[in-house]
Formats: sequence, structure tokens, C-alpha cells
Amino acid sequence: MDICVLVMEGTNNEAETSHSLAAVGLTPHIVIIRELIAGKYSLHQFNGLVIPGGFSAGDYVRSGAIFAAYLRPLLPDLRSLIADGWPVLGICNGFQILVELGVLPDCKENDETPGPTAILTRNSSARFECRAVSLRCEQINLFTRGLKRGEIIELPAAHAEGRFVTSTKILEEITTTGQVAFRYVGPSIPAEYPYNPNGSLDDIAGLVNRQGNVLGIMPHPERAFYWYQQASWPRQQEVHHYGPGYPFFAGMAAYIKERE
Amino acid sequence: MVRGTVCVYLKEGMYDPEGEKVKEALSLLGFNNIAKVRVGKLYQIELNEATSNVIPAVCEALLVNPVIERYEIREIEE
Repeated sequence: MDICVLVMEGTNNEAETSHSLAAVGLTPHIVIIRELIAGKYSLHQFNGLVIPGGFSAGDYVRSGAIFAAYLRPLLPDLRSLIADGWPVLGICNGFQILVELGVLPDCKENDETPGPTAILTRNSSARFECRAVSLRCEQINLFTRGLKRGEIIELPAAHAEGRFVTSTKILEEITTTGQVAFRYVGPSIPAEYPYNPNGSLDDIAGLVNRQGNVLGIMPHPERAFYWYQQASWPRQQEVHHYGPGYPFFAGMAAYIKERE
Repeated sequence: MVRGTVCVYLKEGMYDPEGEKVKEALSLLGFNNIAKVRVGKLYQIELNEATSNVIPAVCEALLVNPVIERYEIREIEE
């Protein structure tokens, strides 16, 4: 159960991500994008792919744009990994990369002309937003099978460019095809700042593809894998071993195990 | 040699938090007459030889996300 944890210079969440994967019984392999391009590794040898958070290539040009440009020649391999049903998870910068690549949102337009149909751009607050946020699980897929639809979880967010922007047409398509995986939640709908930390359209915090095996999420499940990693844990009455980020990885492991 | 300048702007109507912050800072410095600030990015690109359409291709491949951005190119042949 080998998982490719794909990194380049500036990625900085590969340790937490690999730890989380290993803790649920998967075998993470930290692969540098250049090694994939050079053919030292192939995406076909893995049972899944995780693109961790960070600031790949210094977030130059736009966050995720340079990583996505490196990955673009390998898009056929990535598409076949997805079509074969293996899980692909993009966290924070990983989500930005999947959006820049045009893998998410998973729209008809991308099938014909590959390219981005959305963007995760500068937060409305013009700040780096680094704190816990509440998210509502909107859709059950392999990553969220440990959660309930409508369940609210708290995960740490840490980004300057997380505001999801797309056209009205694409928004309608992703809504009607059930691609919204997570929304930011506050006392009102839509969630206002600071509950929606970045000004994301329709409070979108995470997207899943039509097939349900590619998830992109701005907040960090790997930083809330254990209970004590949550900002609010000393105030909570219940104490558990695992935190709200655990189901994402456990779901991935269970799904891969079922397939093998 | 061909030199090109690419300016990448946010499309009209796109919210520009950076521009808003710059405007706020300017007003703090006493520049109260500023109605709007928009921030863009400028790339200076030099080509080894004159090849047509390289700079637009570069924009589409990497420099611009057409969902929120537009670009202008100025090419200078020397």
C-alpha cells in the first residue's frame, strides 16, 4: 500500500503527512517531482498520491502554479491513476496545485481543454490566516467515510491564498454534481469572516471530483491527526487519541485495503 | 535579441485585497485623494532568438490564470 507523497522545494508538510499515512498502515514514499519527471519513479507504482502543504517554489507566480507546471507533462499518468480509482489528496498547497492543473474542479470543460477553471487566490483579508476553522462535511467519499454528512469538524488552516474563485457556470456545475466536500461554517450562512477565513466563494473549503477519489482541502487534516493537536483540546471535555484529521487517512487506508 | 514585457493584471471586477491594503496604507500616509489601487505583476522576458508567439505561450502555460487574470505584452526587437 505505497503512497506517493509528492514534494518540490518549498513543500513543508511532508513529515506530518507521511507520519499520518504511516500511522494508518500505509507506506508513504516522499518523492521529489524531479525524480518523477526523470523516470526514477512512476505514478503507476503507487496506490495513491498525496500532495502536501507548503509553499512550493516559494509561491512565486501564483501559489501552486509552478508545481502544476512541472506536473502537467505527467497529467496523463495522474489521470490514469485517478481513473483506476486510486485516492489522490491535495492539502492546502496540494489543493492549489490540483486546481492549477485543472484536476479540480472536475468539470466537463477540463475534459476538452485542460487548464484551470478556478483559482485559490489571495485571502480577502490580505492576511496569512493561521488558526483553527470549523468545516461542515458536505459529501461522503473515501476520505470522509469516517464522518457524517453535515458533521462539523475543526481543522487548522494556514494559508495566504485560499479564496476559491470560479465562474458562475462552474460553481453551478460543481454544486449540482456534488463536488463540494467541505464548507466553512459560522453562525450565519454564508459564513462571514473570520469563520470563512479567506472569502471563498460559497464558503468552499474542499472539493472532491465526480468519481469521489480526488479530494482537495485548504485546512490541514495532517495537523490534527491526534486529539492533542487541536487548538481547543484543553477546553474539551472528552479526550480521545485521534483528532479530526484522522478519518481522512484512515478512510484512505481502509479504501485501499478493500481494493487490494 | 527579443525582449518582452508581460503585465499580468486582475480582470476588471475581481476583488484585489493587495490593492485595497496599499490604498489603506497610502491614506494612512496622508494621500487621501486616491480612489483605487490595483496591483499587478510585471515579467521581463528575454528570448535568445526572435521566435513568434513564445511570449503568449509562456503566459498561457504559467504566468496567467485566465479565471481571474488578463495580460498585456509589449515586445521589443533589438
